[in-house]
Amino acid sequence: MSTHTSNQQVDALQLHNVETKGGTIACLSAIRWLTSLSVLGLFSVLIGVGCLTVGAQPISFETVLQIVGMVLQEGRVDHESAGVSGVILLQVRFPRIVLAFLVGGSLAAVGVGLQALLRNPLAEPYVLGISSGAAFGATLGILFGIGGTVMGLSALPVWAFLGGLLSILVVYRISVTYRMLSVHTLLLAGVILNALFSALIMFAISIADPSRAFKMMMWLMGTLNAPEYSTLLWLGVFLGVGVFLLFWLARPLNILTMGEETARALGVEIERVKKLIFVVAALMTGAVVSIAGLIGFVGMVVPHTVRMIVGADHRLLLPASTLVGGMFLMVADTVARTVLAPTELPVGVVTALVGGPIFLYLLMKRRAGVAL
Amino acid sequence: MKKTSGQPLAFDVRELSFRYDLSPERSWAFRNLQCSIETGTIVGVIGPNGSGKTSLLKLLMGLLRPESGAVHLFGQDLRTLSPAKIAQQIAFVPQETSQVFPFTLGELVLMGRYPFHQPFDGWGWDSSDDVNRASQAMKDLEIESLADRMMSDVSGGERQRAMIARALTQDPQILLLDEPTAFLDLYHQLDIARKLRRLNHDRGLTVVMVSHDLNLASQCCDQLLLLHQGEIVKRGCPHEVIRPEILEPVYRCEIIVDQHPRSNAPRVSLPV
Repeated sequence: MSTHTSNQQVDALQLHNVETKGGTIACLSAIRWLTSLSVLGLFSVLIGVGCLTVGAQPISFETVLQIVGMVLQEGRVDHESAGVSGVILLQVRFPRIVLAFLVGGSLAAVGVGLQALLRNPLAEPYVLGISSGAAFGATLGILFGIGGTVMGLSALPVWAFLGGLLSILVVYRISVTYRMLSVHTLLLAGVILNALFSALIMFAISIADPSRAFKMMMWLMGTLNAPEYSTLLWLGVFLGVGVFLLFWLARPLNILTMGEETARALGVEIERVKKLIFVVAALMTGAVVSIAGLIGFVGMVVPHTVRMIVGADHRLLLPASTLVGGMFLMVADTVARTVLAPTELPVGVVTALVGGPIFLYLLMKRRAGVAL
Repeated sequence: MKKTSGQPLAFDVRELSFRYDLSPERSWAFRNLQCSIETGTIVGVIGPNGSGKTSLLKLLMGLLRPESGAVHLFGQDLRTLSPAKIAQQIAFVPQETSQVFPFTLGELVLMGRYPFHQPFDGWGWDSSDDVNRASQAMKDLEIESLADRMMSDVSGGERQRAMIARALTQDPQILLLDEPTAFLDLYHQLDIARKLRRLNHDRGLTVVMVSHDLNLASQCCDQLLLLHQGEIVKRGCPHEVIRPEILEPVYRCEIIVDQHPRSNAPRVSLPV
């Protein structure tokens, strides 16, 4: 080998070496993380307060602030000075809006986790049939009156959790078996699970007594009712822990989106991560479904939108999606309870009306071969 | 090229048996395979389609588990090492990478630092050391200007180079590559081959690569491993392996071997 030729080739290499500035990689910085989440947090509060003012009985912004100030200062509300508005705000709207935030945020967070795990941006607890599995579990609980209470709490979430876990295992088994077909097979599996569980639920409803059947129907369509503060508290803690666990897995989730083999080659303990995500997703979906019924598409539309804005890094995507999911459902529920006031729509109808078309659009875009 | 006796073997494969499906009817992919790879060498794994090249690579990395036998990495049984410990020593460049979510190439390359974080250390920012290593690797592969681009926006060659950059970001002692030049044009084939040689020379990096390109393997590798139906048919330096009488029965066609005009490495061509 002559040195002459290798020098020539080195020159050729340098020709290609166009000078570029810096060379540092724009990665997620703590500042960007903090700013993005602070802005979203601020928006969440503003939208929450905005939703407090809207309703069958409009309550002015000043009154809301006045009552909030009263609660913050005295820790309680003087019913005489607050009046009817105070009761509506504190007993009905506030807990319901907080519930909407918790449910929406959890659904979005679970959606993000499942999407990373299944490498599919359309994955979501409702679409995959996990929610209806949970609903089926809960229906069984209601129908047979099994469970009753565990440690003072309703056993319904336990049943919902078991149902959700069952569907999640079926879905995962299918996605592993038919790895190459995953996108469509997975959706198909979800459709079939949904149909199957719906049939079983309808069967349960048809043999239940009419007044109970109506309540079950409303619940299945996804309805938020003002909860007791104690319920809100345990739900908040429970879902908060779930979301925290998912945040904790943000880095492994990033790498899992490259596929299981690559993830393992990069040192991810995939079995542990997968199990954790499954259990957390099933637990959170179970809790959400047992309290709010079937609310679809939040877990798909929200992460998709957020991903387009903040990028794919789960360290930011997960918390941002959680906040946006919370905001989305607060607004959706406010629409649901006001658009036909005094009659209320189930919030699941609103989210399906918004999410369904977006889902179809994404599916068609995928089929056309455009990367999401 | 340099002899490195005295150092522990990079890989020592002992009595390894493996099949894809545990059912007894399935034939063995490997049956009692024995082989070793010396530290600091470039080894090419060649053989026809379905001969088990990629499977061997995955067994070496612990991505597939042997049914019996063991793989020892620098004297340690692979089964006793956590995935992160393995990933600190071995980097793997798969043949194809698909991406579903819009990560930038920079973020993908930075993922190579993952094994150096605590297990289950989900949080924490990328340290400046991590970023510097990733930037350096991207510079080495001339893709630093693409750091903000998505994988779907770049060419196959650029994608492949990004994956090699990620592997180098892992700062490994061993690099496993599955068809590293499959999607590359001539310039980048040459470039990758030279980079591998230089890394091998400068850092003592052990390289194991699967390749269909016999000429590349012949030019680039110190040792070749010819696989056929899960057996090592021949192993040795390119002059010992790239011979018509050895290759023809394995590849089932006539093969002409002459010499590369410059490097004297054996050169393969096909009659038409």
